[in-house]
Amino acid sequence: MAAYVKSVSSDNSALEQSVGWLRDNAPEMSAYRTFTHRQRWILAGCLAAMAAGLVANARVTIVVLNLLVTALYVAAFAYKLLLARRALMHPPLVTVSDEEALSLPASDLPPYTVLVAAYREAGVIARTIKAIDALDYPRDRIEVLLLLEEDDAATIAAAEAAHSPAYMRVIRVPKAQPLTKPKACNYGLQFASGQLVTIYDAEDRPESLQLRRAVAAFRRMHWSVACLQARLEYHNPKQNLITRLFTAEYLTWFSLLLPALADRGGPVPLGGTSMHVKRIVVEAVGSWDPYNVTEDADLGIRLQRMGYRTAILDSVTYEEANSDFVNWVKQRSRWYKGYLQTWLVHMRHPALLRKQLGTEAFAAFTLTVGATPLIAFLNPIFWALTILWFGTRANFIQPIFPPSVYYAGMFCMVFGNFIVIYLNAIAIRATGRPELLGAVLLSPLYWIMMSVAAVKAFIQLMVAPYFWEKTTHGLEPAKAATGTGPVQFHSHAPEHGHGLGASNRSDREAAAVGQ
Amino acid sequence: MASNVLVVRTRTQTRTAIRWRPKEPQILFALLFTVYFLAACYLTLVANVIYGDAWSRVEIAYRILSSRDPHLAAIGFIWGPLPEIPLLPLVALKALWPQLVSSSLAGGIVSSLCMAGSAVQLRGLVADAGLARPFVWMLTAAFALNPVILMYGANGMSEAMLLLFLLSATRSLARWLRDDSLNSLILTGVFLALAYLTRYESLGAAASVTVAVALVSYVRVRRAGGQLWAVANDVLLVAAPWAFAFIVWAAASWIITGQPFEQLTSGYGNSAQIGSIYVNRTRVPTGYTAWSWTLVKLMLSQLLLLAPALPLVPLFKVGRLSRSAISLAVAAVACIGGAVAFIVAAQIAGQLAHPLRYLIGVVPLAVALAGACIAANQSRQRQEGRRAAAGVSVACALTLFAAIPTSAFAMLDATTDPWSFTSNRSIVSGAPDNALGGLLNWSNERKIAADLDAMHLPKGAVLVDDFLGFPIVAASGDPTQFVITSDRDFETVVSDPKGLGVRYILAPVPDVLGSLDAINRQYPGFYATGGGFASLLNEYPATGVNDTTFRLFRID
Repeated sequence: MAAYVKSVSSDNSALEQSVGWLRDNAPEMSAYRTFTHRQRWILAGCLAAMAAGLVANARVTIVVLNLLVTALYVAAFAYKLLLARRALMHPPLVTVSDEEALSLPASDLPPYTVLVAAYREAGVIARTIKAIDALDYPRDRIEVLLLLEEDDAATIAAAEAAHSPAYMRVIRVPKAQPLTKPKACNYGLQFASGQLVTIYDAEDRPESLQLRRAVAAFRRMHWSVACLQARLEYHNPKQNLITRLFTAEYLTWFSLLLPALADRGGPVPLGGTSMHVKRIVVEAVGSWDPYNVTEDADLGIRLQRMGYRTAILDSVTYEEANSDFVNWVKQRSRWYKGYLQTWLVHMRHPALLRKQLGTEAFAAFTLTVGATPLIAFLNPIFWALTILWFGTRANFIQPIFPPSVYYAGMFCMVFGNFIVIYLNAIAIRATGRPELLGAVLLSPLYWIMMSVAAVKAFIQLMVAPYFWEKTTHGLEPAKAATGTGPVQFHSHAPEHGHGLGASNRSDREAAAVGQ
Repeated sequence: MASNVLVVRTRTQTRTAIRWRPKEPQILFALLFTVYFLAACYLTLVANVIYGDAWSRVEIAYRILSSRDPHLAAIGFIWGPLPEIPLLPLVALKALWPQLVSSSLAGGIVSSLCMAGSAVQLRGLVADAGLARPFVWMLTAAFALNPVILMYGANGMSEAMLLLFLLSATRSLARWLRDDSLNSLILTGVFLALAYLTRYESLGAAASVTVAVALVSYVRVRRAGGQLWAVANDVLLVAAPWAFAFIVWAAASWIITGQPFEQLTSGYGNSAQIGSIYVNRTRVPTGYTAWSWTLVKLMLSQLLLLAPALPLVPLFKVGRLSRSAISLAVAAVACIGGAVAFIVAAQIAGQLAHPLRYLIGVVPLAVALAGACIAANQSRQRQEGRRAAAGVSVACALTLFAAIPTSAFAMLDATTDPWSFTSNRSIVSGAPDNALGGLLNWSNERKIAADLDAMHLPKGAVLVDDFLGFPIVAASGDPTQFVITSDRDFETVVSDPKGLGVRYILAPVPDVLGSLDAINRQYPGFYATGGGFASLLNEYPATGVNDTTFRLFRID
């Protein structure tokens, strides 16, 4: 069946809406300007104060700076521990059993819109279509919009050649700056007719019952829960060390920290794909910010500010973990840059933010979204200090850095990084993936990568804030897709994965997804 | 499920008021804390019995905050740092209640809190195993009312804190063994780390618990056909915290003092002090050589007097061992038994002294094992022979109470508790200056402190090594007048006291302990002659059993 291609290059208002709605109607929420005037003044003031302090009394200034950074480290890591403990004691995932998901009659299911944003994915798009087709949802109640850029002829051709089913159609997104995924999603949203909307990336393989589970969960929960974020995992953990480390990190985030964050009412930075939202809500809050490179995190915060909640759905979407160092750094630097953008945007009016989120969520926002790139940026400084101290025990260091600076800094770095290893070890045990233990112990290598990404992110934030670093997909050794899609699995008790059945599961699924 | 219904928590919504009702553990804690605290007040304020080690820790906390050179590293690296931490806020309140420091009462408060907490954890340990309430109460009482427990809950020594963490680790370990809950495994690891930072002997517990976790995890994983990585993961989760604590503490010690294991290498450390006891300030060889039969007999007598029920407890088991009974028994043996075994091994090998208090762990161990037996009997009760099984359980619980008189006897006996029996006897006899050689009343040190305070000396006028001089510093109203060992310029001042503003020097008599004093080491013969640059002002002879004779010199 031929794909129904809608040509909308003449429809400028839709494009203008998708690019400019938030910027024009709620500029305070838009990352169009990275820094507001006030923020620029504050930043300049802080830098000036720091410079003046260094000139006047370097020792005291450095001690004060050190204290502030130490406090941030300790707070961020202590909060992570708190979240992990909560996750272990009160498993906060929203679980929908297979029976419940399957028992929903087709007539009872609301119309669903699936947005698939793809750019330069000619080699992958056929697999994408197959993976989305594997979703278990009545075909007359689902529409899949493949959002392809107008000038991406290769991908459009590949999509047409793939003979996608009738409910999938290609939407050509007109070329316009900023060239980002959220702009495409905003554009696509205007053609959406479903009550619920979700986004998938080109390499995603969602678990087949995911949409049904989302419907059941929404029905069960309070109306204010407007968004359900599914868990993201990687289907290629064993490809190399980078993928192992990445998988362990994702497990910690999506199985421990994020669910606990959602449960505690903290701001939930969404995951970019597999977030199932109610369409009227996402339209009401201004949909995605095209100028923010982590539009998902931004949307999650904005939803919460407007009074809605996000919960984590116990359903998995498999993604491809980046296996190439350069590609990984690109992706991670985009995430950090986006986190910084998000933090700056929402901290424009801190008092208002605190009122809207609540005090704990307000603090959690800084400790998770703001502190993550900052700590990754500062880590190498502490590493350097430590090595310098041990290596040289140089006398010139002593007057500049009093011992307390070293000791506090060293302790922070050592303790904080130990906590991260330990948290990862907890997560892999709880989700039944203990084979990642070797990689977890090599986490220090991962932090070096994170620090590289953080430096790049800070630079890009100043120089090219909207620039979207495209992640290359399909780096995994390609095997013929078996076409059966991911195997269904039972949601497991997250507190302590029946490490054994679950590990068998991952092997079975790995086989099924054509690894 | 309730957890799936997310109720919006708007800040204008009022929460349903829940009336707070104290639960049993909280009542128990409050009750026991009161008892131990009152005992602490009696000991320090009325009977004037102050244990040297306890007061030394209070002085450490005091010098971190109030000495001439207050800094955190003054905590010292010879002993574990954790007992001093809760002392810091208490010591800061000295202005409100001077006895907190001058009579070591702060130590008593902390040990009361810790011992009450230990009792609560022990109660929780046996309650988790499903014991009926009367048995839970009996077992908790058998622990909490034991004279050794009462004494060490009151006297400010670090045994209380050690028991708190060991019992907490035992409780989480038992939970993990029973329920396979990840949270409990993590808590076990954390408590073991805290126990290590309290007393180094808990390395034995840490090692044996890690081995136990490895074995049990291996059996579980094998039985379910999983990967061996899961075993490694479990071992990491339980061992990483204490291994981390070990490495970080050794690293901190190495960075600050140059020695990673001060406990072993320091002139003041354990290795320098073992093998003798001090009777009237004379170091007397105990007569126990390493690996000797007499030493083993002493160990056995100490063990049996502290926990006479221990060898008898297995006889009281009539029922099949249930999962909770096995979990309780294995956890107690692995955790507390591991610590005790470490101590016994070190003592027999001659590496550790043998005061009675080192074996304090056998008291809760016996109670825990009795609990396991009663848990096993309870499973029997549901089948047949209810009455008989219940009767056996009651008998088992009652045998634990035999420990009360025997422990009291042990604490008062010269052979079993050579380090502390005089002070213990003096409490019982009640007379302050009795024929047993006096109480630990530190009267001459207090006099020194009073005399120096009366002179209103400037900062850093008196040089003293607080290894033995700690009572003087603690009893003084002006600690900044002293230059003490923890001051960062101590060594410089010792090598040139006159040039750096010191006017007076206190030197202890150079007996076996006093010869370790920094001044006596720097200037051999100083005590006799004044080193040629100082003249004797006054001598303060020791009166009590553990007092030190000091001489006060004025620099010419």
